[in-house]
Amino acid sequence: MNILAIETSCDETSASVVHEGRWVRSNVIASQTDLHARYGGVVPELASRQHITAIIPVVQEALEIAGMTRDDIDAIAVTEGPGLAGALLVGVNFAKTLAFAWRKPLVPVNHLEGHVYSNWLIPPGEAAGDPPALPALCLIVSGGHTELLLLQKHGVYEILGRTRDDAAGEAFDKGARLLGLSYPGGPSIQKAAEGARPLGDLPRAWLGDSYDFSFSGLKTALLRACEPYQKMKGPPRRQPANRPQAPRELFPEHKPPEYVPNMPVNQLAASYQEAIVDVLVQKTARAAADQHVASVMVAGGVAANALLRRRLAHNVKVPVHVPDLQFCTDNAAMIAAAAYQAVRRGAAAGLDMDVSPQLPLDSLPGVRVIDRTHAAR
Amino acid sequence: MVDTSQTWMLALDTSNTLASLALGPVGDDTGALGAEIVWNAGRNQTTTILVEVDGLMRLVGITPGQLGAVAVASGPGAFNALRVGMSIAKGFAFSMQIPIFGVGTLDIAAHVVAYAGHPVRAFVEAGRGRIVVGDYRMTNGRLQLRGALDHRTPGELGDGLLEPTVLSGELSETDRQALKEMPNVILPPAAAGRRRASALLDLAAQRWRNDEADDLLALEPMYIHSQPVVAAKPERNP
Ligand SMILES: [Zn+2]
Repeated sequence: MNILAIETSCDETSASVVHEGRWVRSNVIASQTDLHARYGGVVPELASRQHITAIIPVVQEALEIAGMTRDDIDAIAVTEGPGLAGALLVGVNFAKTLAFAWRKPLVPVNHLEGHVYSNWLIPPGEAAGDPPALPALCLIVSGGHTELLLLQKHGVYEILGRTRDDAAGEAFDKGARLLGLSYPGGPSIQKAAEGARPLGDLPRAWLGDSYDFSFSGLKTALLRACEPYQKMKGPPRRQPANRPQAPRELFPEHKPPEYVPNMPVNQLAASYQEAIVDVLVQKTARAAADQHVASVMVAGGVAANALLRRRLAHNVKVPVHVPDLQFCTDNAAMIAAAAYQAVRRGAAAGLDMDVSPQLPLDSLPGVRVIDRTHAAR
Repeated sequence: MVDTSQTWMLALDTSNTLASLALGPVGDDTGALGAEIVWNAGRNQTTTILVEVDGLMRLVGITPGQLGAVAVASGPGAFNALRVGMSIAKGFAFSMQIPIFGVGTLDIAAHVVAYAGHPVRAFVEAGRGRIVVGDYRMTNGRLQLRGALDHRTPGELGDGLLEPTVLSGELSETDRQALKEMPNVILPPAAAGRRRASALLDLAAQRWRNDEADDLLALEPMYIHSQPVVAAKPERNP
């Protein structure tokens, strides 16, 4: 079965063809990172506009690279949510039209389940390794999510923990903004921290014996640590009353903070990264041991973090799976992989399919979820 | 009677809560209408448009394979609503390898009243209480936009008219009563001043005859801002 999948939940326009839920025939990603860098984060309206112009070249290229036409495609899959409403609706309406015009089944996919199944993907030209053994623990860490899921068997999840405030990737982005480093924050903090000695300990939120996460206190601590290095600001300049005000920008750009030249940016970045990774690794390792899992999977953009990968491999006693880098950040191949599972559970959507910005994991038929997070208790 | 064996143009207008679809033949029968639907979609464009496209095709008795062109209202309007129509229109143009025609939403609003020789002030409710207005004048038998588009409140729609001008767009009954009293305002009956996809079909069919299709990749909605509507904040990235 060949599934053509489309993903537009945030700031990547992506299309992919995947065979039997594992073999990636193509995975095309038009990233908008450079566009949003100026603003220090994703601007939803601009992301939605970009999807409108990127969607056709991306889908066309995915079919061309796969060497396939509509006749070779058995189903069209698309991310239903969670994500940005204006971004999701471009992918959903485009995918629905393709399914309608080509008379193909339409498969709705939960973006989070996509991240889980990114661990099943085999890049083109590579030999198949063993898929993660179940039950498996999955740490999803991205700009929008920090979740610890237990996949007991296909379609049966336990949500062990999730962030109570910022996602790990969001914490990296906010930290980078505070340190005057570029967006996205994960890679720029990792680069700044390389070879630098952490400057003291930043606080970790352990939240008792819960598997939940919290990163907002850490961000505040970094803000305090940066304050001594901030350049003194002069009094705000007054506009003469009769001069017309300059028109406000439609999309105001992010202005990085100004610091004195000897600020220990690299050491602060190292402390910050250390604090985030420490909590992620310790909670994952404890959950893996408590739940007696057969393997651990990592997914999401933060899975690209080298320190996180090293520490997990060192601290977790069962095999740790990390997807190929191209499948860590948002991509359509993972949507196709999850769609393959969804098809087997009988998931199908009609022409009235909607986008669902807050889509819960158990919204699709055949998925059972037990929520063990603090919020659910 | 239209011939269902020929090729067809699908017209989609999802500029705001008022949605409209039409199907008409292109070729010998250009200008004929197969079917049309106008409804208040509210914020449910994503859940309703393709369902209604499917229904309209069944009503006319054609399949997607018989589409020969697609036309779409390209704005101004509510940004997300416009993107629903644009995503679907691009989906048809791409999947069926057919030409696409983007037509300005105010052009459609002006076209429905373009028969009395009067200038037309066309407007569209563009979401968040904004109304975008354009002034049209008859030149060489065609209505042409004069000047730039701007934002107005309903109370300002009749301001600055120097000669009798037809107002075309959706109005509440209260606004209609207030505008009716203003100098140089010609108000058509509410039903005649409502955008309809068959008007979009007319305008796109003219361009189809002249072989003036849009560039499928470059075509995007017209985004008219009244003020900074989007503050750049780091957003949650799923
Ligand atoms: Zn994601």
